[in-house]
Amino acid sequence: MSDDRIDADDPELFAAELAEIAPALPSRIDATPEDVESGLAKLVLTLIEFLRQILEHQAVRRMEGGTLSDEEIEKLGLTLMRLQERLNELKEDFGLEGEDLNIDLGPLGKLI
Amino acid sequence: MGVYAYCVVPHAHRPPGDLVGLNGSPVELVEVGDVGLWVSTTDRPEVSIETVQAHNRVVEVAVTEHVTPVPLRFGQWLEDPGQLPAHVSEHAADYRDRLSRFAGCLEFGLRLIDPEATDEARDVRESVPATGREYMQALRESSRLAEQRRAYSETVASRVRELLRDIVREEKVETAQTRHAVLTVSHLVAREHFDEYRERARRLRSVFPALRLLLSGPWPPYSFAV
Repeated sequence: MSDDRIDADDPELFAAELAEIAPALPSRIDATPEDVESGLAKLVLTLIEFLRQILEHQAVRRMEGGTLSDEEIEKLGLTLMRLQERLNELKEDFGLEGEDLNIDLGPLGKLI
Repeated sequence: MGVYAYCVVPHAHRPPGDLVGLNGSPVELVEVGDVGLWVSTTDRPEVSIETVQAHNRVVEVAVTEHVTPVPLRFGQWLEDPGQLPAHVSEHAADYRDRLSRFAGCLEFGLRLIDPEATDEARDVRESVPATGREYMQALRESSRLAEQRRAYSETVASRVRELLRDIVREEKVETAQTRHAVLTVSHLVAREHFDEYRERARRLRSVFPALRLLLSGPWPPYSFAV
């Protein structure tokens, strides 16, 4: 860190942090057929991931509220677990990783 | 050839005659009503470290003691230069507002990270539950840990705010996105407070001895721009 405008306790650690968020930065879209397909898959999977997280959140709230029977908890848990597994498979198919499934909404921040 | 825009500036704020920007192209002032834009006539730029740095160099030249430009995000290129006046007119009120808020100020950034932090919330979710009930319990635990982490980040943000609020004109907090991130915040600070800001920000090292600090700036106010 030679720039005198940067004062960092542990430059390597901060560099690693930036490297971690770099894949989530928006990139320019080039309209080749392959990129469009991949971009569309990313968008659709992001929305599914967003909905999945809402479902999980609601499920936890219902469980904590004591409104679910043991059988319902088991069934809901299995459904959500399989949904996550299936989504992981789809991410792998399209070469996507966890942080790829997010959208930068500019001033509103990240979707997830 | 198209037109590439670097930043919005007040009326009559001209670039130095020898200033070059992307692809070595001269930088010119285009005026639309009472706001101006620094632009170059050039081909659509490639994305690279060099072109991003060239963009930033032009924006930094536009900064003076009394003028702080509204930096535009890298990559604002229009194939048809004729579209530029309409685009600027559409956003003119917002640009004027920002030019007035930014005048005499620049941006500083603070990042606080916890080198010992682990992403327990994610780890719990990614364990391999055998039953639906175990999965639900893992979700609950993950949710509890994530909430704990959010609460800690909020505590740190409040302390930082308390320490700096009288010398910070605006702040923008980013959501923690990484395993170690506790707080990422940008501040708009007036020139007369630069030294005081640095001095107080460095005090955070003793306030939160377990965290690591990155203090950066002053920069053009990219985080507060468009």
